[in-house]
Amino acid sequence: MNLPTQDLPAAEIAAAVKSGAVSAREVVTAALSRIEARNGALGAFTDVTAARALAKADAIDAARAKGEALGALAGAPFAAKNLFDIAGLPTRAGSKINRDLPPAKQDATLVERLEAAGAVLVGGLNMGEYAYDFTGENAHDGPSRNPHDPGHMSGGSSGGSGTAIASGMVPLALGSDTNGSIRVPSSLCGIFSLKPTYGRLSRARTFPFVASFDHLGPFARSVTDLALAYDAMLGPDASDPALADVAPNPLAASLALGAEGLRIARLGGYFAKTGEPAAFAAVERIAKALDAQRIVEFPQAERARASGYLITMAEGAALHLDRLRRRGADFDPDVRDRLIAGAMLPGAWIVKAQKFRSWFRSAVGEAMKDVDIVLAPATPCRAPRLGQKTMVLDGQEMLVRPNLGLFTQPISFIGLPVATVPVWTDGERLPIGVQIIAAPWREDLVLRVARALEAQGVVKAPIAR
Amino acid sequence: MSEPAFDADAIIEAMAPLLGLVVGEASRGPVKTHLEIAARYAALMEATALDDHEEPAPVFTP
Repeated sequence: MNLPTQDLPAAEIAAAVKSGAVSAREVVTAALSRIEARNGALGAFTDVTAARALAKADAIDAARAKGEALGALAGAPFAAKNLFDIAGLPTRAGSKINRDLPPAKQDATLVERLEAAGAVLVGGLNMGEYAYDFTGENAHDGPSRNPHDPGHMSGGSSGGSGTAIASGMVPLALGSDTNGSIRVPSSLCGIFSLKPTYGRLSRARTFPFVASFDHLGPFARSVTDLALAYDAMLGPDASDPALADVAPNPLAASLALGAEGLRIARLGGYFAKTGEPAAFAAVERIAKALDAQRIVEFPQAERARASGYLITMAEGAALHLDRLRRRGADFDPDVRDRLIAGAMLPGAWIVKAQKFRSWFRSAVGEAMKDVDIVLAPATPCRAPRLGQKTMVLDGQEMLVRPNLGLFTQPISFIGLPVATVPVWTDGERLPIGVQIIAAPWREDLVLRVARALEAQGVVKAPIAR
Repeated sequence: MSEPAFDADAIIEAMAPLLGLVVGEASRGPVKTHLEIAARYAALMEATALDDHEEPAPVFTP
């Protein structure tokens, strides 16, 4: 094998496997070898499913030998945040408590669909406990570290997904995003991600957090890989009651349409304050590359964030109330104490927050009548140091853990699709991300813009060495 | 509208037995902090005038 498959995007791996330039077994063996070499220092994987992965790779090679058609992701290794069911493993969802669950009998729908397209699952990824986290730290498994500077956070809660992609362990990973848990690690680790519209991709057989806001989506080092993964995961699924009855919208073929003709604006107001200059400079850079001169505002975005925060506390607490009673000492204390507080909130606050959600959806729909895409920072700062509890933004000291998501939370509150793109600055070791946001169901637009920026060289996702 | 009185200790005392939760010594400070943050956000949200007919977002579809 002469190809450095460990560094290749999934699309190129699939092309090489299909052509016979490399076997799926060689690709998977190389990925397992890199995981073995790097995971101890970085903490991305909590489970490596080597035997299963090699068996799947052999099946792909056998299918090719028989002349069968191979899928769009043939031989491409991927991994899933450990709240996705993986047959044979307990779905730990970052917790100690869930390790006592019986092993999952069947893979999550999205894992099944990626494997049906030829991708090969190589393991489960570290995450913040029960996804109530933006840091990527885990009290039980240790932190998933930022590969670009391992003393810093990966971001969470899909921290292992960010670490695995940015370190080149796999070209493709799955994560979940309730209030920003895909977009925050994407920003801090300098990789591409797609959080689709709420209700677009099946959540079947994944461990929930906040049913009102839970989304799933892919991470990658190229926009084409995001599109290929997304396309493979589309489709109806009776097992997820929140899945919307909308036609699938495969994206790979439309990527080349670019950003030409799209009406693009920056988000002002709430999204232009309470961050470090680097966050706004990144948006400025993207806006300039896209010639986006307009500024629009989402009215009352601060209240949207507040309402999303309250619903998250209450729904998360309701989900975990029995575990809080029986196994309180087995929680990460940072998670437990937020959940306990969430259990004590008045019901009227939560219903009103859900009414505000309807209002905000209408108001944002109105604000986006004249624009196709809006841009906003993904995080208020670059990756904080591991263990850092507070930060100062606009002169105000605040907790790191809940506030890394202050720009992501109002967006997922109403389920808008977002591609996060990584921006690098000369002389800085750590990246920062920008959210490319569209109206509901327009994942095609966010990935077209992300691909256009990638083609211009304005955004990129290099492997940390 | 006057700001509603908010006493996190009183809420913990009243709600913990109702919920069947024990708030240990180490947890009390952080739980209070999170309740106070929630109260600030609730006050922010409460300041929004919403029509009586505004439907909550998750409407059950039979």
